Amino acid sequence: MSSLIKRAIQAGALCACLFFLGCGGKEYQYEPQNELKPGPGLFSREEGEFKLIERSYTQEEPTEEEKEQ
Amino acid sequence: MRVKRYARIAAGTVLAVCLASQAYASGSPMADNNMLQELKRMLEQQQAQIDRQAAEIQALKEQLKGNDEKIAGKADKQDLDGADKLVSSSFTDVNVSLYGHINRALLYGNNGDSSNWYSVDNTNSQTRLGLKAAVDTTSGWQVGGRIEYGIVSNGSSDVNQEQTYNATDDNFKLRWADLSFKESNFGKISLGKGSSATDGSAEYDLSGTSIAAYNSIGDMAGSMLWYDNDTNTRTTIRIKDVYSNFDGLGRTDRIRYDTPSLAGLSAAFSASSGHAFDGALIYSRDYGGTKVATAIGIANPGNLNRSTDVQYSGSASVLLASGLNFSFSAGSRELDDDIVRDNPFSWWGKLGYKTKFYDGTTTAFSVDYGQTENLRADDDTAKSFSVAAVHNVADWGTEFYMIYRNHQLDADGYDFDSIDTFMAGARVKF
Repeated sequence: MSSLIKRAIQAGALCACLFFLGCGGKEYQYEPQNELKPGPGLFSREEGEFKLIERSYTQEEPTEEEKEQ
Repeated sequence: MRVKRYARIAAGTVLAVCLASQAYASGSPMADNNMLQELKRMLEQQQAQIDRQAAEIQALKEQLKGNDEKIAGKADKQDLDGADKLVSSSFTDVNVSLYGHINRALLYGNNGDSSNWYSVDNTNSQTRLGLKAAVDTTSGWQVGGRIEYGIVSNGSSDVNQEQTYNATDDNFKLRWADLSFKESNFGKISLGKGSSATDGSAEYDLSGTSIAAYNSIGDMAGSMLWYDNDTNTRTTIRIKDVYSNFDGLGRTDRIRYDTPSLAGLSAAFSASSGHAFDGALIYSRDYGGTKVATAIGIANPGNLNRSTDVQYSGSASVLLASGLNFSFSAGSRELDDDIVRDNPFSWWGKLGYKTKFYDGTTTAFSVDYGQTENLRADDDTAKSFSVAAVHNVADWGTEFYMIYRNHQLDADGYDFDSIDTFMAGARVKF
């Protein structure tokens, strides 16, 4: 009887570990509500902050000459 | 050129009119015929001249267009040359942004002897302004920086019966001056002033009302003074002297490492100036609309709090898809061996409900209760409960809130009146 209880506890612990370590649900980022709240701002609108600099640079494939070098 | 063309047409017209008038004057049919022939010839000459000039104009236009294209092509080539240089600098994305919010409220406090209204900055989430920068490199690392200042006048945790105005000494307070290096497999290293690993570990709360009601009870009206009925005097004991959530080390000058998240589970460690060390386990996950967020932390405050050897803190919050939510926290301190006193500890719980009365808004309600024992002295028991509501208008970036909180203190040798507080205000995100 005691070994049955022990096995049940072990199985339960394993199930709990599997449950909490990702067999169910999906990840999300917890945001502390007393920090800057997510979402739009009154003046900055959808972005929620004023973008002073925002640049994206695409990577170009190296030319044949560059590959040879 | 156009004037010249009109002049020629006008001259031809005058000549034609003169010839026509002569022909009319002569009255001979033969003369009329000759006159008409002459007029026809002249008009044909004029038309031919106009056609030649139009062709010249078209040729000049095309030449001008060709010059423009050459100039534009040269400029584009210069831009591309510049882009090649930037690509070779190994950046893929650069972002620098300014952010902040203002959080002001009216606070009412009554300690059983006197009462007052105050215009305050809500310390639960004080007014701030910051600058964030992040650069993504081609190697997969993100290099970031953050500078943030709290800009506080008359903080809600500073005002009391004796300091009703200008209660905050340091109006311009540095909150963040932080550098970070992040890579998806390695994790994140932070260096500078910012959150220690255990900062916030006692404050995980998904209720949506923490801007008004959360377990750092001293933030709302922490400097209010208790009134002792035994002696009929206002004591020098403040609310924040008897309440704590034992939330980690706060923001320190530190080096911090955060592991990558594994199925929502991550760890953080930091070493702070003042020989302070701490670590935390953090877990958050969404189970089909039911959100879970929890953290536990352990800290050695070192010189930051010499009377404490070790501090423990933990909290958990669950938000169901229906909007019902539960939060719980607990914390304690192991005092230094030289201090012969009971170790202080606290616990706190909140029941909340979030709903949408109409599109674009969320309204959250909560009730909470918490206790702190032995913080100021042995056998002190500080109890508090609150009722709060927060109405979030997402499109305005604004939350309106109100809270009533009651504070009670049982302490040996005193008979304190309870302190009632009420606060209503708004937080506006820029």
